[in-house]
Amino acid sequence: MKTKYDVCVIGSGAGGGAVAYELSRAGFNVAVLEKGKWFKEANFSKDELAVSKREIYSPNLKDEYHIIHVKEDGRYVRYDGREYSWSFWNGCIVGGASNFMSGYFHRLKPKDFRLRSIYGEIEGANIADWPISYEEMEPYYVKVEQVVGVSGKVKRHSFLEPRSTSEFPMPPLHENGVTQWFDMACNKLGYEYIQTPRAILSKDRKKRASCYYSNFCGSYPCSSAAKGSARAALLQPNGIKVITEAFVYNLESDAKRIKTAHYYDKNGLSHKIEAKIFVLAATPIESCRLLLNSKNTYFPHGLSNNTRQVGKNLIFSAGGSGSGTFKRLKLSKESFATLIQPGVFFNRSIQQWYEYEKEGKKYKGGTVDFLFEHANIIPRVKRQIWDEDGGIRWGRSLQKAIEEHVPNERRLNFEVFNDWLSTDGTFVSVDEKAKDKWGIPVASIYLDPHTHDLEVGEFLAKKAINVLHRMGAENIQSDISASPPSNLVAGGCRFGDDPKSSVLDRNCRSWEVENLYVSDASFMPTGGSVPYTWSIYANAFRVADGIKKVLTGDSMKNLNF
Amino acid sequence: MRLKKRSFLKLALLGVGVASLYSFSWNKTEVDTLSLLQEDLFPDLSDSLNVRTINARSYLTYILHHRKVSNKNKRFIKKGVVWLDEEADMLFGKSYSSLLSSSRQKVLESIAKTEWGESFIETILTYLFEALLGDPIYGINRNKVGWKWVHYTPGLPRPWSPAFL
Repeated sequence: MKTKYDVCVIGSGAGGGAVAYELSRAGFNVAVLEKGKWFKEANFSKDELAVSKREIYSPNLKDEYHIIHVKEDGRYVRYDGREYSWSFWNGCIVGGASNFMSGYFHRLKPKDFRLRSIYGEIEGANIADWPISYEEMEPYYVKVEQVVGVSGKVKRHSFLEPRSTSEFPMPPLHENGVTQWFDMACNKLGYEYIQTPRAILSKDRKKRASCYYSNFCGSYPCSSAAKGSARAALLQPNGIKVITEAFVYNLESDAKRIKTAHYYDKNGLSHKIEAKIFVLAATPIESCRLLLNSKNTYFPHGLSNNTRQVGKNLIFSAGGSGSGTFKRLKLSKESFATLIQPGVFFNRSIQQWYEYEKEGKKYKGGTVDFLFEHANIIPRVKRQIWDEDGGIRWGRSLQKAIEEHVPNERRLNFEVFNDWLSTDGTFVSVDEKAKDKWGIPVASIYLDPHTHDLEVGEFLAKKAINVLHRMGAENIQSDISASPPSNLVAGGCRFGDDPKSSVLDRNCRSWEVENLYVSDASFMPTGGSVPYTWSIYANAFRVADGIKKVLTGDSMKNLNF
Repeated sequence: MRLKKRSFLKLALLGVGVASLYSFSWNKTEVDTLSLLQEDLFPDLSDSLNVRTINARSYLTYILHHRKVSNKNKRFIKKGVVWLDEEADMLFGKSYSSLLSSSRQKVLESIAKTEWGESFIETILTYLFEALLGDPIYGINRNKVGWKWVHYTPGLPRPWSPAFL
């Protein structure tokens, strides 16, 4: 089969979904190729075993996997993802990872766009300014608020980013009463806090029902379409053409243009698609992999990789997490009832130290989000197998600990988000000897994080711990580590103004292949100190505007379609 | 929600991750030993709440063949059964299954002092908790006994079919 489209989008997550939505609405003939299946709200349940333990929305690692190399004591140690149950898959269905996000939505700040200019270089890190400014992105952040849907309340604080609108389009979601304990603690400490904006509808919208407070949000696809996944917010309501179970394995090009995308269907049969423009949005790791695997005479090192930049400067969100526990024994009956009220959100964040000063020098800091521990029961029970001294217990002593702790406690967690500095040692390649079920080389991920990331994370964690102490929490702990979170990945195809040090130009168009755009998180030279999704959506809308101009302008004549 | 990589180093340190990938078969003796171990790790709380009412043996048997459970985990469990019997033999001159309950507890106390033993007990308990607290649609957690025990309210909608079988 060979079909011609105006635009072929590869991947249907936040980066691909927004481009497909925008260009389809503008009247262009768009096809989205998505490796996963299309699920609807009626298909989703809160099945802990299926979703969290067996990970049914991710590929079977025996079929599709990653090879991971971790720098340890100066040398890379190789981990085969199949052996260690370690991968960077984050939901392979229509809508991609956006189905499984918690939807903590923070914009980048203006300073995030100029990290190198403002804070200077750091030895061993490849920090770069963005080629665009916050002001250029701002209208697209607003667009996401309106189209995808963001609920919350704008509150003035030290690092509130400039806004062209005064409020979010939807009021905040309902909150647990324990937020009052948090607010009082922050007030006493002199800490600025905000209500965390969420990409979750607090009111019904056409074809999307508002949040029903299931108590199971993060990691689970939403059964009411309230969560602003690309599937629920953009693709499904607008009838966008998505070819599912289509794994793109090669982009065929000449010296300047992609001619054809080749993909396998679920039966392993190969198909072709032709388009004027190709938009790659398969996640940073898989987008780089596809480019690196698409070698030909003109691009012997992979498509758009004659300057050898593809895969470099992979980044994650640095930071970590922590928690404090509240116990029935220490609370009044009323307070405990408030604490365990299910469903309603916590939704508090602190950004007071998005920038901080230490020994006379300014540092880029980050965000701390606070949230209740996930409602999944198995990890909460399993935690009881470790006694106070770290020893393992079983039998009656274990059963007694479960009875004593599980129904009578609730944890409040915090998550720290700060910049993961890109390094020469953290990048994506392909492993020619390790192939997936289709016989295609898998992504090979190299990890060598910068020590600066941990220092900033620890600084922010201490502030969060102060809040938990002041609230009266017990068993307070934190874990700031260099572990890369699989759901917060960016970089690999940097955009920039210099073709020698970037893969994409400021419009996220390839410097080397004139009809190739990349619209997932790959473009980001730095990730900011917030979860990425809002910025991915906003940038993808921006990229779509650029493509619209190309498709309707004179430059299309040169595309020779 | 920030997702972390799985804790993989613990098993790596045990040196069981270097063999090539292969499929597994389990004989009745191995499964009987694991089933007895489940009873020892989670003794009966009542007639309605025990490893039989949560169908722990059948669930573990299923998991031992499941495509989404890594070969590394399966291999570790298989070796764990061998090592458990070796420990029982060293302490009492008999296989684990041949011992009285009190002696089996001594064996568990002994292996719990080792890194592999601690990981082995943790692994078996992990799958036991899945049988205890997973949705009854899978034939486990009969009459929601596990959920009732820990006063747990499941999320809605609950599954209407066993999605990962």
